[in-house]
Amino acid sequence: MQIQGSYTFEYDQQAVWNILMNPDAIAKAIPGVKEMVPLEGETYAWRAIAKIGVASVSGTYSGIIRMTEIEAPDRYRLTAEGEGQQSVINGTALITMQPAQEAGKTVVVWDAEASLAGKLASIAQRLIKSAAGLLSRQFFGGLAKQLKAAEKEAKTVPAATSSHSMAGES
Amino acid sequence: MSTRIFGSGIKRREDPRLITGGAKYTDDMALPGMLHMAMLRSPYAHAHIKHIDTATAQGMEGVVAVYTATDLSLGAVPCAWLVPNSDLKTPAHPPLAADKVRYVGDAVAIVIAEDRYLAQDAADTIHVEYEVLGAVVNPEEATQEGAPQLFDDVPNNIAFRWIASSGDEGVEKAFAEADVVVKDRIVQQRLLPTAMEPRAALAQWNSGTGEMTIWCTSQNPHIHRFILSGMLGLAEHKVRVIAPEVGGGFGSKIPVYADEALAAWASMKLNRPVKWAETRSENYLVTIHGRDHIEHVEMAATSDGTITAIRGTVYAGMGAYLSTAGPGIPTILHGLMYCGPYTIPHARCESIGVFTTTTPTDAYRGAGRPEAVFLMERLIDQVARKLNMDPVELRRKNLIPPFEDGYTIPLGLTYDSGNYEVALDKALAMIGYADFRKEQAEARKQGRYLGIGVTTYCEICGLGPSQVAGATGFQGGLWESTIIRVTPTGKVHAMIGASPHGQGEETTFAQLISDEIGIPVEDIEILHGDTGNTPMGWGTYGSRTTPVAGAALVLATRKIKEKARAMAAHLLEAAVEDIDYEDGKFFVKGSPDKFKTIQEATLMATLAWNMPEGMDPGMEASQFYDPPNFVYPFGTHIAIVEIEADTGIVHLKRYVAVDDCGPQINPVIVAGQIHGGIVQGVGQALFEGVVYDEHGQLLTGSMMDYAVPRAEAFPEFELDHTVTPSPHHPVGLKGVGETGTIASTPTVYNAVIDALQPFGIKTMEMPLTAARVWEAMQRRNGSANGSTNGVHEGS
Amino acid sequence: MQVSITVNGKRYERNIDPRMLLVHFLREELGLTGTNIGCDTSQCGACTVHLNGKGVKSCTCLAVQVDGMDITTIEGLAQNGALHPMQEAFWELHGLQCGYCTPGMIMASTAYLATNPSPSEEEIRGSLEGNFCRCTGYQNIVAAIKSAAEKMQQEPVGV
Repeated sequence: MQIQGSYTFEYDQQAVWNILMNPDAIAKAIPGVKEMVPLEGETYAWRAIAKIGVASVSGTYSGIIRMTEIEAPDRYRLTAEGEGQQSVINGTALITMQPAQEAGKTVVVWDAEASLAGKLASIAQRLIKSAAGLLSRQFFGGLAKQLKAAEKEAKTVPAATSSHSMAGES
Repeated sequence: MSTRIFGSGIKRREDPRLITGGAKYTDDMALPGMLHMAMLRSPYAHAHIKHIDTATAQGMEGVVAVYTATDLSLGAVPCAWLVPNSDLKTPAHPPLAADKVRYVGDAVAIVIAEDRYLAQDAADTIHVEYEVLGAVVNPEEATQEGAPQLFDDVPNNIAFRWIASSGDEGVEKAFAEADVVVKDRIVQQRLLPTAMEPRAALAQWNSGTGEMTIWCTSQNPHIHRFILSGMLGLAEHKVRVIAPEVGGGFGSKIPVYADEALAAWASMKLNRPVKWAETRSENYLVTIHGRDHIEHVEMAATSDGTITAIRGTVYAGMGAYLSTAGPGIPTILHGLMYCGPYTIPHARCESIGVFTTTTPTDAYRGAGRPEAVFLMERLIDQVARKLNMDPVELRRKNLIPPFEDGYTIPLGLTYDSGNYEVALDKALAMIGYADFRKEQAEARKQGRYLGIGVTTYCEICGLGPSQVAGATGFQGGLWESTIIRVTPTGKVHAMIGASPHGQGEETTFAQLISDEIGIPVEDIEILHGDTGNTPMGWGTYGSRTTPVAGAALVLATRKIKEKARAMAAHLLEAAVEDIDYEDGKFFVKGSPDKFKTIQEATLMATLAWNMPEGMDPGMEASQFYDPPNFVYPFGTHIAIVEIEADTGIVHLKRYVAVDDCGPQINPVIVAGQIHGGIVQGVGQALFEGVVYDEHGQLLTGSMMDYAVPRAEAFPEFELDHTVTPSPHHPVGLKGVGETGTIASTPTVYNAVIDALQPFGIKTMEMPLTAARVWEAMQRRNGSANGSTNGVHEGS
Repeated sequence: MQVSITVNGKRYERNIDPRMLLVHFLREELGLTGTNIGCDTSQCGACTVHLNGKGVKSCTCLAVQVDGMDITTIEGLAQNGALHPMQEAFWELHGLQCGYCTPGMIMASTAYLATNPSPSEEEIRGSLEGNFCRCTGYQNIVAAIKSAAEKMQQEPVGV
């Protein structure tokens, strides 16, 4: 199953890149993620637990999220392998960023391929595409919100913050 | 004389418990100390199992045990229809997959816990490491080079190759000499049986007595006992299987599945009762599916419309393992019916059973015969089209003339009795065939698309002579037995080995007994479903309960009658030959006022104070009945449809069914069987179909996506019947449980194709959903020349 | 969680798991197994009961959601030993075979007649959109509902 989409941030590419590389921010933004713990010995891999409901299949899934093919600040590949509810979810998304035509904005484009197996496939496959669209919007919208909150905080607290931890502190 | 009870549409005796919530289905049972079993099933269609981690589940509170294949001491799930001369491969079907899973739903582990929610929660925590292998869901593709192989020792996934032929030379010659030949590729899509009650099992092991009791959703509890005792390694007399109230089966509750065996095994292991009940989505995933044929078929005819030959090659999807009766369905129950009710001299069916990474298939209402009748009726309509003949006249020309006692067809079967043309004429008159053709022509002028489909069918049921069962590889007999016991006060317990589950034999069998010996229906109880109190029988499927168990019942009742007659003669101090019987009374010829009732005779025989010389006390009879032949019901079904040009929606406007199942014990119940059958068959034509994706994931895994027919899709059916008794049945009965399904699919399908004639559409894959019909109309419309006679024009 | 639910005129206090479905509450806590479960996606209607007089699928709500409310199940439909006209009609007109969908059919159709006391055949068929039967082909179910409606018009009964 192919899923494509894009989202425009009202921030410059470096800010967007930073937040998209920040596991805490990602953990907060992925709908349903309850926990995201770094995998030992790997920099860009996490064990995650998420609670997701699609159609009548709702439950807790656990899996590994990994970032690979990182080319700052333009692109990386996000892969997720999860299981739960007698189902298996596998997904890989190439996420690319580029400045939008409008100055100061950044377009994030994702090109994802997902496969479902088990109960989730038999009950919810037909709904996954639209659910994926919704979840993606929620995800990027969540990140944008965090950027906004961080911006507010930066204005009120003039202390210098490293760009890497900016979103994490918000 | 009172109205005869035989033939009377009395109210059903099973209904009071069912309409008040008092019936007990398997999942309604609860036993003290009962545990619940949940299954962990494979999410992959085909994969090696590398590792199973059950530690989390084991440690959860309320979890009593977690088992995987290595823990089990349980036999493989057997296939019980070993079709001969077909090079049949029967790879083992382990109750839990050990090293490889072969379909989504293949069980990998079981969890036993204190409640069903906990068991499910715990199963969800089991982690299995898989190495995913390629999937193949199409049975024809599965036989090709390079397709994923399910079993090392089954090359090209071919489970069997079976041929039925009237003589290959004759078939070849007929095709070579034919004036017209029509060919078709027919996809008999997979269907989900969808008995409203999902499957369930409750097992109770008694370690003190060494006895196992299993309540389960079974159409054939004696077969379940037979097979389960073997799987469990228990002596058969220590196993009692009870099919309590069973909420429909349609074939899906014939097979013995791993699930009930696992519940029983766990009960033994833990010495506590264990219950398992599947959810609907689990039911769709693992309970057998039906049909799944890809057929290449052709028919030969002369220019005057005489059908000279029919042949076909069938790729029959068996799923990942051979289910209990799986191999018998696309072979014995399909290929032998290639002549239908027609005088076709040459016929050949080659059926190739194929393993695919999908849910196993087995008997689903009609089982093999709907597929045969469908291809026959499709081909006939195409021949008619090619010859520019009326499809009804083509059928009429080829129907077998009336016969009362045997007609042997080129494939070797001997039909029992038939009078096909009478049923055809009756149905044509009901629908007003000639007038309809005029109406259709008028409608077409206005851009309305009406169509009519006519099916003349006959089918083989009432399975069947045990000798034939043996010769065709069925690993059991197909006789039935009954014990009739009359209590001192003249009430009857009739114990049957067959196991009705909605068909109403508690009523119709009481009518049969009452009709023979005059004991009122309300004094008769039909006991079934419990191997502990019923004699051996092979179950309820293949429209066999009334023809076979009903025959045993009638003959046993006649034994009772003869004993009562002898007792009455003794009491009346007359010779047995001088005793007449009428309406429950025995009297000396010519003196009807001096009589003994059946109840009086029974009481005196039970008291045994004064018995005739040599007669044993009591009033009880036992009867085994092995039918000398199958029975062959037949009839004509006609449907009229209208297709909405804007949407492609098929409206079923009228449906006429004239069926002949011999004399009807209870016409209301017969009609009910036909109504339900029609809807199931129309379901296949218009709505239902299993969809797998290329990875073997079942996409129609719930009632959200699998289109079970609803009330609003149907008009009121118009039924009538003819009566042609079976010559070999004691009261002439034939089966009627499957005729509706067998006839209705091609009837509605042909009606749709007929409606679409202006578009030149010859064939489409089922189900004929609105989207599919609309697309076909657009395509043909576009390719015609894109401007004239537009689909939208007249609507 | 503590709930108090009136079922068939009798009040039951129970301490239950918050995720327990109403249908499981009826079947497993109260032993009222007349209400059947035919699916897990709320399509089939086998589990239909009356909630404060209205038809609901008891698999679609949690038991805790109906705390304080009134439920009628198939076991509570007959009054003083007399069958409800709908039960009579299903029996009389052979509106059932295996009986598994029947309690839901009867509860759904009695609730429907409360909103439309004299429906046409087409309306009846439409009203069964959420109730599946695999045995009867619906014909005798429709006839039974029609007949019950007519009888109830003549002699109204409480549902």
